Amino acid sequence: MEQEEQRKRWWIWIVAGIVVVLLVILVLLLTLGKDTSIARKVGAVLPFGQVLPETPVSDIIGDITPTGSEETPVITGEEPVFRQLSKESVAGFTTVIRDGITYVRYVLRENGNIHEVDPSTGTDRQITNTTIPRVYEAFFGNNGNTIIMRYLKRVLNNDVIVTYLGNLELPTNEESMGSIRSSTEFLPDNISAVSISPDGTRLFYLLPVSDGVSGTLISLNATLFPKEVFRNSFSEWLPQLFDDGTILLTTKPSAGIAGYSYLYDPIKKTLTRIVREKNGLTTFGDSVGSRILFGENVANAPFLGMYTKKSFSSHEGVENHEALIPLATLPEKCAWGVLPSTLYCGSFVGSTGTKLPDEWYQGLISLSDTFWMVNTDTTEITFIADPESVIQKHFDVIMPLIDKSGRHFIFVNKEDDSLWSMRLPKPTGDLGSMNVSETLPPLTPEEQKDAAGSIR
Amino acid sequence: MYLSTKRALLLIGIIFSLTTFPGTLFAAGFDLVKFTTTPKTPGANESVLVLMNSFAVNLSTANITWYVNKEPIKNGMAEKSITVRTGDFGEQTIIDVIILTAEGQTLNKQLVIAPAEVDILWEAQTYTPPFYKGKALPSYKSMVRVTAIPRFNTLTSNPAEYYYKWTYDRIKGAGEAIGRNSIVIPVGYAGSSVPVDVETSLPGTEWKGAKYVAIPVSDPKVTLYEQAPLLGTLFHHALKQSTETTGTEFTVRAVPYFFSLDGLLNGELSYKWNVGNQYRQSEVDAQNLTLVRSGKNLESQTISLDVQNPKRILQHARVQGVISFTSQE
Repeated sequence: MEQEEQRKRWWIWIVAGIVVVLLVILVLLLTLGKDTSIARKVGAVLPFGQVLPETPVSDIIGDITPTGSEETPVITGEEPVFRQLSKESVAGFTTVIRDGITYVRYVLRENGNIHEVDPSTGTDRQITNTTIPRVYEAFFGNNGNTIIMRYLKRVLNNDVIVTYLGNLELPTNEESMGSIRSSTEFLPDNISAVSISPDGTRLFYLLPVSDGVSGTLISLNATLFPKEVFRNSFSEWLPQLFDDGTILLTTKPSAGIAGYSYLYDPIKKTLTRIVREKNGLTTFGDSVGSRILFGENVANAPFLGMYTKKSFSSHEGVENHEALIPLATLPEKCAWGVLPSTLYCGSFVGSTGTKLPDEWYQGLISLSDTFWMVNTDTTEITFIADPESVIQKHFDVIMPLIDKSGRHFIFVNKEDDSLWSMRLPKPTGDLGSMNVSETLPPLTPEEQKDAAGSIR
Repeated sequence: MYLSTKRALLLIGIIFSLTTFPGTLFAAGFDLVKFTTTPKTPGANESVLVLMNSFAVNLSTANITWYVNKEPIKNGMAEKSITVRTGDFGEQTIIDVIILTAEGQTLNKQLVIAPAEVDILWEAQTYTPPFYKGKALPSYKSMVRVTAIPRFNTLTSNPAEYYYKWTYDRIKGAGEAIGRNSIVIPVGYAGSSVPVDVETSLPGTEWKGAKYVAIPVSDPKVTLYEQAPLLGTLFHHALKQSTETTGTEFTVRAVPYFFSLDGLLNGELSYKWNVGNQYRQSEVDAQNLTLVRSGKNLESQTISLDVQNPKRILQHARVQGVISFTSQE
């Protein structure tokens, strides 16, 4: 009898042991191997729901960066998805790397003071106190050490555009304040458009002249040496200078008017047509002009396309240079990633029926963007974030830029000219092009506070 | 009489050609046979109808053989037309025709189609505000500069080397000359459009091109923006029909779009402001209107503005809105 009792206890212990071992295996499986298909299948049948990847609260997941790429961001801590870098109006910005840390260097519209902010922490610091009031446009070159500010002066009841070129005298220590030293090169009044090469070494500007327009190239290194490289009877161009010195010249757009885009080679003096006869045409190329985004207005709806220098065969076997990207946006709402095939864009809906881009440029309409990544090799798009669902805010993206580390999408919100960063997602294996908004946990109150305004 | 003239011309042609190339008549030198193409100036990769006619040779009884780039394409009695497809830029399509007349004479004729393309760019000499990235549009009686960019044998070109012949409003000549790649023309009423044609050719070559564009004429407009003391004009946000401010003072800036540039730069535009149906004398800068809250309570002020170019009276625009002071003291 006693032996039978003991045998029963043994069986209970054995069964209990097996159950414990199974539970341990299950727990290990769900934690260490959470992304495996077995874990997913197991999770799917569990009564407490689907297993989700363990994500930092504010991280966005999704297969948005090629695994093992140089662009793979390494995100630590609890950095919010969106962070306001400046509440005040910003005229322009760039990113610089100092002591291994990426900073956003920006110009305040109201006084031309330059600040630096760490997008990972939100720590902000003013670095110059030279006052230039009411700056409408600012551009950085020469690794963020040269500044071009554009403002207006009133002469005989007419606006005159002044383009100021200066070099930064950075503060020597944490307590001191830097300044801007005027360049020895004075740029003429009423420059109609300015473009700085992505590597920051050269500046190209267009100046209206009596018989059309003149284009001048200036090296931003120690020797400025301006040189006129372009002259044309047509003056209404928007230029983009590439690193190889060629210049993309696109006619200024209007919704119902056919636009053209040409690549100008200042050495050969040749004008090669890139895009033709597209209404409301706007363009934005990568750093060397091998891929050029173009936007067009088709029946008052925006379409995005891409021109590639290298042709590819279409379905009919015809050599083609143009591909459609399935995003409703304007090229100027996009930024090229660190990888040449990667593009990040703000994309809007509800613009049908509006005269784009005219009404947007005139400030008559605002656009509300969600954020997307495009693989330009395949034109596949991947959703990144909807700011309305993340921080209940609308963004109308302008001046987008990917920071040098490839970890942040920096942009100005046209709504109020404030400066923002969006942390780019961490790659999480082969989740594919899923809609990640559903897997994004809500921000904690602290993070919401942080995201709403985290500087100073 | 007619027949005898035809015969005489044919005879002259035969005698001349026999002295140079015995046995074959080269029709090209005498235009005994003429080609017409549809379209008149074919572009690249385009289908072209080539039609042959002659006042000197009876083509209806002739045996005609067509060669395209030296390949025989068509042969038969009275085959007076052919449809060909042009090549890419830089590719000439050479069409040779051999005509064997009923009289037993042989005529050769050659046509070279050199596809040319011309882009026409135009820019209105009308005003848009500083830093505006959009296109200036033509308005009533404004001037427009039209520029041609031709391409013949590559995708690039030197416009100065080519000959241009300009026409606008279908019949009005606007000049023709080598290197004249740009003209300035007037436009008419808003809602209309001005047709512009240009024909280009590269002297001494077969390259020819033509382009047509219709330039639409728009209404000018005026848009109101806030003139912020520290930031200047807030071009990114036009004032809506109703604007609220928490301050005690608010400056509105009127920005005209698409008024003729000369009138605006010469200060000729008139700005007539009304506040609550009362005419308001312009400030030092007529584009600005400063509103000041009159009391300590909430209040709204209705403003309207008429902008007109007195030299082109139909260049007129009107805008109105309401500014509400929403804070109380």
